[in-house]
This record gives sequence, C-alpha cells and structure tokens, in this order.
Amino acid sequence: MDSTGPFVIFFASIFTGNILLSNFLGMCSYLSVSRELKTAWGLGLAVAFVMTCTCAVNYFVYHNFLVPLNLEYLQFIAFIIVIAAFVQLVEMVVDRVSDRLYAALGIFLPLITVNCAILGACLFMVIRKYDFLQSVAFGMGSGIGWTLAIMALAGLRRKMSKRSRVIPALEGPGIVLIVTGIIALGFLGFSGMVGIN
Amino acid sequence: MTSSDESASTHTGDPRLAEIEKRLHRGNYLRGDDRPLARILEEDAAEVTRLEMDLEDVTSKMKRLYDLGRKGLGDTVIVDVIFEVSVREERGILAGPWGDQFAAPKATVTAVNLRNGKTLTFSVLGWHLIRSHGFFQGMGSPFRIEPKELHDFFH
Amino acid sequence: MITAFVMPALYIGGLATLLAVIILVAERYLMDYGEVELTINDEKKLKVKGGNTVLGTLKEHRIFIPSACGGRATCGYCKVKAVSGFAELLPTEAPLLTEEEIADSVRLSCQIKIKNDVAIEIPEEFFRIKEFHAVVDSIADLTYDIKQFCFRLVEPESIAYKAGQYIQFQAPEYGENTASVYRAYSMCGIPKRNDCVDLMVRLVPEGIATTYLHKHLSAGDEVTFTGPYGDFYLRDTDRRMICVAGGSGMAPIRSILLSMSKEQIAIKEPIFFFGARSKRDLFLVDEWWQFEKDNPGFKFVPVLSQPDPDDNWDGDTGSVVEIVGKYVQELSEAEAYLCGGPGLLNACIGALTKMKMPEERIYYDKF
Repeated sequence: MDSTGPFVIFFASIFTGNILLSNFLGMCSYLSVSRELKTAWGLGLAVAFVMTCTCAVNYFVYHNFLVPLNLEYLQFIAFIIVIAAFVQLVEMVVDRVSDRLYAALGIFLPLITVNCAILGACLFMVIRKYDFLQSVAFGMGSGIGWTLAIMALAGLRRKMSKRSRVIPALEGPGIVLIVTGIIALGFLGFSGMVGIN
Repeated sequence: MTSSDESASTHTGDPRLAEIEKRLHRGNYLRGDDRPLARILEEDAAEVTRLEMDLEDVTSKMKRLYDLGRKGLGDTVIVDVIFEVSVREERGILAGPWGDQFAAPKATVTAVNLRNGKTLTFSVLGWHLIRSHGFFQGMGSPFRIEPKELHDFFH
Repeated sequence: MITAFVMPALYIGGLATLLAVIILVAERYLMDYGEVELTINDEKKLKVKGGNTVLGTLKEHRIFIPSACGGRATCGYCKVKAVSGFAELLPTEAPLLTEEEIADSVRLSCQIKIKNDVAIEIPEEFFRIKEFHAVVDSIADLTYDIKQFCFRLVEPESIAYKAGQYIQFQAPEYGENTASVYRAYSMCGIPKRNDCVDLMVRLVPEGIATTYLHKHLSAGDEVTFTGPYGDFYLRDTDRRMICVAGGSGMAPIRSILLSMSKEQIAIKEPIFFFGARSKRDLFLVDEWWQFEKDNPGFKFVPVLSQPDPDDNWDGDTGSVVEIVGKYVQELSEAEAYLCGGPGLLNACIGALTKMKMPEERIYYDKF
C-alpha cells in the first residue's frame, strides 16, 4: 500500500512522473494531433477525462473481479476491454447530448481507445498498489500531464512553423521527436521535487 | 493499393487526415498514389524547404495571376509585363475536399512566363489546397503541380 | 490443466459479454431516436426516423432541398427556416449565414439533426423538386466542345419547371471515378414540352461530369437527375429585356426566350447579346436569325472577341460587355438576364449599373 497522499500523487503525475515525458506513453496520437493548439486542447481534455474514469472503473474491475478469482495476470486484457467499452459509451453519450461537441471531438474518440497512456495509467495504479482515491488522483493527474505535454508541443510547433528553419530530412516526425526529447529533459529537472516511484 | 474505405493513415495518424484522405481518394486528387496523405504532405513540405520557396509569397503571386487574368474573360491578358495569362471559367462551384468549407469557383489559369518560357497551369481549387494545406495533390492527379515546377516558374 | 485455460477464458469472455450487453443497451437507448414528427410549413406533418440531418431525412421522403456540395456545409444552397426543436447554431453553419438569416432562424439543413419533434419552413418551390429517371433521346454537336443532350423522361413522366431553371445531373461512378457527383446544368428547352429535358453542356478538361456526358453516353442510356432548381426565370413585367450570355450560358436564355409569346416579345423588346471567341464557338446562329424574323421586337447580337481571319466576320467584335453599350444606353427602366462564368457576370453587372440599371433588376443564375 502506497502511503503518499492523493494530492501529492496528483501533482507528481503531472510534473515529475509525466506519463508522456517521463514514461513515454501515448506518443502516437501526441505526435499526430499536435499540429494545432485547438485540437490538441480538445484531444487532451478527452484523454484526461477517459483516463480518470477508466482508472476508477478499472480499479473496481481489478480489486472486485480479478483479484478474488486469482486472475490478476489477465489485467491487460480486462483493462483494454473496459477502456474500449467505456470510450464507445462516451462516444454515444456525446453524440446524443451535444452535436457541437461531437462535431469537434467525435472523430478523435476511437483514437483514444488505442492510446497506450490510458492502459499504462491503469497498469501503473496496480503496480504501485494505489487505493481508490490515489488511483483517481493518479488518473486525473496523468491525464492533465498528458494534456500539458501535447499543448506544449502544439505551441512549439506553431512557433516553429513560422520561424524555424528545419533541415528537410528532419521535417515532420524527425524534428518533433527531437523537440519532445528536449522537453522531456526539461521535465527531468522537476525530479526530486516529489517522488512517486 | 489501400481499400477505398480505409486509408493508410487510419490507425495511428491524425484521424481528421484519414477522413480527408478518404474524400481525396473519392475525388481523384490522389489518383494512383499509394502513399498515406501525411507522407505526401511531408515529402512535398520537405521539397518546399529544400527549394527555399516561400509558399505564401508564391501562392500570392498565383492569386494575382488569377485576379488580373480573369479580366480577359477567357482571352489572353498580359500581367505584370512578363506573364501571358488566360483564365478559363465555368459556371458553378466546386466544394473543396478538405472539409474547410472552401467553395472554389470553377476556373483554370494558364500562364506563360515570357522571361523564362515556362508554363504553369493551375485550378483555383488546386491553388487553395497548396496555399492553405500544403497539398500539391497526388502523383497521378492531372492537376498536380510539382513544387519544383512552381518554384522554377517564378524564378 | 483445462481449468487453467478454460476458466480464465470464460471469466474474461463473461466480462466482455457483460460490457457488450451494456453497450447494446446504451445504443438502443441513446442512439435510437425512434419516430418523430417533422412539420413543414405548418401544414405538412411527416413521421420520420430520428437521428439524421434535415437534408438527408427529407431526401428519404422524396423532398429535395437544393445542394451542391453533398452536405459538407460549403455551398450554402440548403438553407431552411428552423422553426422549432433544433439545437443551437453549429460552428460549421456560421460562416455561411448572414446575421439577418441567423436572427431569422435560418439554418443549413445539411448540418442540423432531427432528434425530436421539429418544425421547419421551406419555400413552396422545393416541393416541385423531384428525382427523375430518363433515357438519352439524342445527342447533337453544337460546336467542337459543346453538345446538346435531350433526355426523355421515364419516371416521373413529366416535369414542371419555369424557363431558366436548372437541374442537378448525376454522373455515376465510371472509369477511375469511384464516386458519383452531381453537377448543375440549365435546361434549354421549353417547359411546355414537359416530357423531356434538354441541356447544353460544354466539355471541361478533366471535368468529371462533362467527360461522362461527352464521352460515355449514347442514345438509349439511362440517366438520373433532380430538379428543377433556381430562381432565374422571366419576370412578368413590361420592361425592356437585355440578355447576355457566353458559351453554354445560352441554355436558360434560349429557354426563356422561346417560351415567350409573340406579344410579350413585342412589348419587352428583348435584345440577346451572345459572346464567343471566334466563329467556331458560335452555334444555333441560324435558329436565332429565324427567331428574329418571326418575332418582331427581338434582336440577336453575336459578338466575337477574337475572330479568326478566315471567319470573315463582319459582325460586332470585342468584349460582349462593351458591345452592350453600343446598342443600348439608358437602362433605368430595363431588366437584364445574364448567364455565364463569374468573370462575365461581374463585368456585365459593372457595365449595366454604370448605365443606370438598378441592381435588383439584374437577374442571373447564382449556381
């Protein structure tokens, strides 16, 4: 049982243990949807929302279904099924409730299902033996951390497209990965502030 | 060749690009080109950088050829002394395939640079795709303009 | 051994099944809007399946709203008045609506979805728009790049339209084109002959629909189109008529002029300026000279901008817009009917307003 308070976990998972910049999870949608700030923001919020909720739901699935049946080793399959189902439900609810939101975000929802950061967050919460409150705090923080990372990159890409002279060979994924590495190094500077590992 | 319903960008790329790619395939903008849309855009962007071409400047020049060439109502007009331009217009509009709500007039501009003898042909819709999205169209599209062709025309 | 594999598989299967059931139930509850009532113009009430756009739903009920962009919020032709029951304005609609229209509850029918009982208002003309299945009766060459097509209607057997209106022709998938497209063409025949539709189509290089019409159609082939559309038609007044057209723009002008009675022509004194580049771009010239003979008051003025020396052209030369000024001067009491590309239209409107013609009396097809 981890004894760190939920608030500490929340802040730590945004800065020192950023799921994207420290653990390098959720990279593909991060790379492909970081061209514009507005869509990065939308996707980030959607990821944060799904991450928080699925951490909560998967907490129950793990402790009340897998553990009693000694099926902990099936957590990968169980978690991913739950994540996929949850995203499907979210898509239906959004479509029903708000045409506006669905028009803006609907197309990204299937992308969230395959975002490994979401599965990653659920698996981390199991490895680190978080209780329910800690799990939710961790999910929310990781989601916000992921959003922060994608917003940072989107802002940088926008500035770069106007001012930077990138060598042709690195145009596209090349320079984006290098920039991400540099941001990650920057976030490394936060380590030691609060430890959650 | 990817099936008509799935595009190469579906599973890991920007899903909006996948939607756009589907529409481009249907509209024959990518005729015969197997590459995913993201790759086409990157390769052309790399070429533009390699040529040190200022796309905004070049597309503004193209627009000028169109605006002044239209006045000829189909006949050839001299623009800025060195360009011989004729613009062919049809009635109606073409809805742009990019989902950006752009409606292009049906017009094709044919220009000859009298100084270097080069010819450039482009449609207004093609111009918009280059200017707003860096999309020069797929290899097999009859309206594709190679970045080098565009660069050489104006120099 | 078996328990080690079968039991876990069953448990995971059970979890998956449970989730699938939850999704199916949610889908049934959330996505099935059931049957709702669509009221049109406060009188027509339709029972429709909810969940679709107004444009799509009406199409299923054989009511056609004009559209040129396939429902992608680009052309702005599909505007309807959303009286009640709709969600608030979508960001995709805003660029295509004026402030007045928004204040008046005008919406893009291709964007708004029917999720509950709703009411809309559409112009009466829309009820006359139908989908037609016809057969190619004849194809004639008018010039080296313009053909005239005659489609004989099969189902429905007749069409009711005003001279000057257009249809949306469906070019199906063919050759390398994997999707069908709709393109607008003006009808050039007379409405009285309501069992067939005539079009004048100019071949556009790489044009999807014109290539289909010119290269892939022959007599006896089946065609599909919707119509009639447009508010380009003869205004029933006594005013002098100025008509200007270029290329295939002759179509609606021909339709209008041929449908006028001799008396109307005598009163309105139409003068038809037709602009072309050289003699080979002219067509139906003899028909127009005959029409001039048969209808006193009517004048035909063909104008060539770049006649070939071999043409031996002794008619008017230059830009058709300039030549208008040669024949008529004061236009404050006249009306104009224009048909051609945007360049020609802009040039004409500019010239006509300079000659004191009020803009509201300059009519042109806005498609």
